[in-house]
Order: sequence, then structure tokens, then C-alpha cells
Amino acid sequence: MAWQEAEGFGDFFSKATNLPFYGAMSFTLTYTAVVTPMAIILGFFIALGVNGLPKLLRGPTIFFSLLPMIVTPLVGALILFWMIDSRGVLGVGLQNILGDPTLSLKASTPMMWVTLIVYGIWSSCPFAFVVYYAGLQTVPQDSIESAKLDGASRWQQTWHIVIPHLVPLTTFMALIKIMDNFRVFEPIVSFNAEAHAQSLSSFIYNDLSGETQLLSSAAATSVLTIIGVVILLSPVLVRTWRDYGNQR
Amino acid sequence: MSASIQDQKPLYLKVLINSFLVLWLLMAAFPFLWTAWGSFKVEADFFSKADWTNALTGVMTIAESGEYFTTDGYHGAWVQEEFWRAALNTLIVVVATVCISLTFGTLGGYALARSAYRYAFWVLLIALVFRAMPPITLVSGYLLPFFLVEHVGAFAHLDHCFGGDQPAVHAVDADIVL
Repeated sequence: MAWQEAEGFGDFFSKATNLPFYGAMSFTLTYTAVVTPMAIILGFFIALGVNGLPKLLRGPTIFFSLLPMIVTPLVGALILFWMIDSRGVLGVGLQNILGDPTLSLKASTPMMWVTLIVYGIWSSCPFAFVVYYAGLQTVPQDSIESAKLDGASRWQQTWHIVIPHLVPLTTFMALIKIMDNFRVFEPIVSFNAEAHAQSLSSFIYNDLSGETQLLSSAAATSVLTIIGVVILLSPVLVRTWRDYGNQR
Repeated sequence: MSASIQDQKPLYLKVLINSFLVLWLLMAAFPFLWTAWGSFKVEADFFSKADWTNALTGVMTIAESGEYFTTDGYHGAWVQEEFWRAALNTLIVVVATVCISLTFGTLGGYALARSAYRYAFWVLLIALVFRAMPPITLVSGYLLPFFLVEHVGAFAHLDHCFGGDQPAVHAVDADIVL
């Protein structure tokens, strides 16, 4: 449609790149690209910290660490939404810290993006924590011991023994998390953020649930989303192909 | 032995790790503890427009119910707003989904693992892609045949066959959120 209305290639190009779909696409990609590594890194450090705790404290710490993951995303995001309201406890706290009494996280697009991304890291790092914590229990103690005898520092032990041991887990986790983050939807609904940030999921949802239902737009977005998923997963798919597909 | 000396963490590292953990626990647990606390207050306190510290002091809660904590919120949710109905619906969906997907998943996984044919690999690839797809992408395909039959002229006669005069089911919005 944009093609027929356009008056030339340049005009078509500018129209095509202004489509709301690209807004949704860019938010989803930014969200996935930031949240996935940050959550994995944070989860790794939490796992290291918890692993060093005395046994008695580990149970409660693990329970509370898992809370953001256990609670339904819709509810968890809603709770945070209340708290960051300019009259909520976190909103007021931020206003005091930054010394700006008119600060509202919901008012500006960049702030909303940051809030959503922080929420994403908060809610998805417990998963990384659990997986890494389980992985840390199986680190070969022999290697650690011999490294100590060789005079390796604490940091060297972590870097040369623990982290290589956890690499396969990281690949698996990155795969799952990229998938989950790519379909981010609940926080956008809970944070009421459609005006500032659209993900692909919420974009389709808006097409379907509006006063006039834009079925073909929703269907087109769905297909484009699926293509995006395939492109995003292509490294993993190619790897699976090598590992598995060529065995026969 | 140097090994036993190294097992002792230096003080700065201990402080660093423990303060990091405390900070994380605060971040992780505080929203839920805050909400659990607030659930025993009346709305005017927990969503106070005047002063957020009302949620701590509970001025309006004492004024409205005479006590420091009130269970009005729970009564309102379960009885007045019929939250139990939503809970029951969720339970039905959970039980059915877990039973069906576990049955088919385990049987199918076993069959795929044992299968010597090439299609097993493609099924695996497709399963990965499906795992990554937002559930909502499937909705636009199914919405039309299931709910919007009467909106579309070509299907109008179908609708007459079923004698349907009902308005289009806009309750589908709620389904999507679930």
C-alpha cells in the first residue's frame, strides 16, 4: 500500500521505515539484546555469592531470590507499576534521590524503556541464578584444589575453571532467554506502556483488541514476528543442524 | 599450607559479596513484602494520593475499620469480585494443559528420540521455533474462524446455519491476556 502511494523510491523508503511495526521491532530487539546478557551476568554473580554462604542461610536466600521468577509476570509487573508511580514508594524515593519532585517514570519514552528493561532484568535473572547455582555444585573440586596448590588466585580459579565449566549451561540459558525476551508482553500491559514502548506481542494484541480489528495487520505482524524468530534463532538452528542433522 | 590460607576470604571480599547479596535480596523481596503488607490496608492508605507513608502508618485503615490491619481487601477480592471464579478457571486450564502436554510431550519425545528418520530433525527445529514464538502470533489466525464468523460477509450464511444471533465474542480480549 505504501508502495502504491509513494512518489518514488526515497519516499517509499521513508514511509516504510516509519511504520509502527519498526517501533515494536526495535523495542523488542533492544529489550532482548540488553536484558538477556545483563540477566545472565547478574544471575551468575548472585549464584557465586549464594554458593559462598553458610548452609543455614542458603535456603531462605534462594527462596527470596526466586520470588521475581515464581510470581506471575503480570502480577510482578503490576506490583512494580504501583511502586514506581509518582506517588508510590519507589517513585517518591527516586524523586528524593534525584532531587526532582516532578520526575515521573511513566511520562517519557526513554524512562519507560529503561523501566521495562530493568523490570526484565529483575524478573529474569532468578532463572539464570538457579541454573548457575545448580551448575556450581558440579564444578570439579580436584581442579580447584590443584589450581590452589599452583597458587592461582581466587579470581583466576573462577575465570579458568568455574566459568569454562559453566559455558554449556550459558548457551542453553541464552537460548531460552532470547526466546522468552523476544515475546515480551506482560510488562507492557502491566506498566500501561503502549504509548511509549510496543513489543511485537503487544503490537499484535493492540491490532486484535482495538475498536476496529485489524486482522490483516495482526496476521502480517505475526508472520513477520515468526520470521524474526527464525532469524534470531538461526545460529542455534545451524548449530543443531551440525550436531544432529549430519549424523546420518 | 597456602591452600588453607587461601580458603579464608579477605575481609574486603566478604564485605563486598555480602553487601551485594543483601542488596539483591532487598531488590527481589521488597516489592512482594510491601504488597503483602499493603494488602491488609484499605485502598486509601495503600494507594494514598496524599502521602505514601500512609501505607506504613495506616491512618485511613484505622479510621475506616478501627484496626491497624484489615482483611477487607481479601473479602472484597474473593467474595465481591468473585476472584474464586478466576482461580477455578486457572486451575482447570493448568490441570488440563499439564496433563495433555505432558502426555503428548513425553510420548512424542520418546518417539522422536527413537526414530531413525530424517524428519525427526525437522520436527525438532520446528519445535524450537514454536517455543520461541509469542503465543499471540497464533491468535490472529484463529480469531476469525472461532469468534468473528458473523462479522465477515462470506461467512454470514454459516452463521445463519448455526442460528447465531449472538454479538461477536469480544470476551476474547480476556482470553488473550490469560
